[in-house]
Amino acid sequence: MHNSSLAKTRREYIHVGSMAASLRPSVSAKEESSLSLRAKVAWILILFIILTACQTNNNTLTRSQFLAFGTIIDISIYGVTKPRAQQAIDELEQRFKQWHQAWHPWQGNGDLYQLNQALGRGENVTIPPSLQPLFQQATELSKRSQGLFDPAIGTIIRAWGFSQDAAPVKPPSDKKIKQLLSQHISLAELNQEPDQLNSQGHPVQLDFGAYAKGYAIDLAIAYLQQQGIDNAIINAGGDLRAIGRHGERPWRIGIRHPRQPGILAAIDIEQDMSVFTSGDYERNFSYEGKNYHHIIDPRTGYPARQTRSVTVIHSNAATADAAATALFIAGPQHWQEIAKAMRVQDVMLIDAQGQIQLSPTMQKHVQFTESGSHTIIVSQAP
Amino acid sequence: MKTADYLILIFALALIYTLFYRFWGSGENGQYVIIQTADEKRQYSLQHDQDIYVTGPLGGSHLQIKSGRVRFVESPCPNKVCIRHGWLERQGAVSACVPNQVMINITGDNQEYDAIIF
Repeated sequence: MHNSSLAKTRREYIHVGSMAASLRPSVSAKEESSLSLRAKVAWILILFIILTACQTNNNTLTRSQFLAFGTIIDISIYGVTKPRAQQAIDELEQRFKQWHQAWHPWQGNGDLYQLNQALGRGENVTIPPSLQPLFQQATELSKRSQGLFDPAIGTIIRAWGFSQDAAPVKPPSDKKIKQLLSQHISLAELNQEPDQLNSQGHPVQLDFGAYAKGYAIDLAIAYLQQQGIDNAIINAGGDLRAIGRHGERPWRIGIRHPRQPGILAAIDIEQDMSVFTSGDYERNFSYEGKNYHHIIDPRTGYPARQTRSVTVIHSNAATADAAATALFIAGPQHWQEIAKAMRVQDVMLIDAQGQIQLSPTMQKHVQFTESGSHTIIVSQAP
Repeated sequence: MKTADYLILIFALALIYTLFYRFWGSGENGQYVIIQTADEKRQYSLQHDQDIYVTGPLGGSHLQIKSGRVRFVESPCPNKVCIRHGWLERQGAVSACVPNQVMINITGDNQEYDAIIF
């Protein structure tokens, strides 16, 4: 149906409708036999509005969620038909579940589980080809972070109990932590040859919890791009990577306040960007009035204490993931040198007093929603 | 009044309702919550206060819709992260009881944020 004919009928409608009922010409029998003119007009009007609504709402946004990696994977795809988008999301659901099984440190019977079995006995292990790219990047990031991001502290993380489904009840004993620290060797020491892990007789457990989600998101985005999907967000429980745009506008991300309800800041994503946050409120428990969270400092064996949260923006999700953890542990005094070593520019750190530190480039990305209520320090680049 | 009059009347009311929500309703708060389990996906209006019970592999989860917000009231999971998450009202907000495989997300007509991180 053409718009011109619609406009004409609309005028006709106004003409008819504006007359009082008594003045209306009686409807001819010919018209009575089909539909009355007013009914026709009404139907045309409804059709017109439905059609134009479809035109203006032609936003091909497909959004779908599934559970994997112990969290919600929330995927938005813009600009391809719903069936195509849904097909890609269904495929990613299968892949995320496979990755989760393959990289789970102490459940099931995946590749990493089997590595951990041998490493726990202090053996030397050959890394299977499927895991080599993951190890290569993780070892590189661990070195750059000066060991603050260290997947080789699996025994300590397990002792704290943060890897279980149920929250821990009390912290491990001081003695236990000291004993595990004395046996600890870093991923960089462990993985000195591309396909070999040399545990040097130490019982080692690997846990990629601070990195696997980012690494998986990078693989998932690569898959979407292969499928010809250029506009998407993959949000895994509050850590995400976005490519392209939401049609006419950039993707818009809200950052929740770490201590109160509501949105602290907004980020507009203009190109390919990952946004990862490590926070002390994600997984924690209280024991004898003291709060313990899940981000463990490899140097002490205890939760890092000087930071509430760190948000990192970087093109690569795995890098952003590992850096968020490393900078959280580095804390308000030292994050800049670690960020530089990890080649991360965009950082927001909220310290234990609630002061916000931003790197100069981060300041350009972030718009604070209620900037009167907190202290913001823009840190000069080191 | 003929059918056509009724149609126009209904239409006008629907238009007023939509415009009211668009211009006077809070742009941040959603109008619907989608509750997803392993077996089904259902949408509920946030305008009608109600209690919803869904079943997952661990048992029953109890959700509550009240004053345009939604929350987990009870769920048979070990760590109760879903319950501690509290009320959700903002469009784009998602939450889940991961062990019991129950997901909720808030939708509406004019979403301010494409994703919410924390």
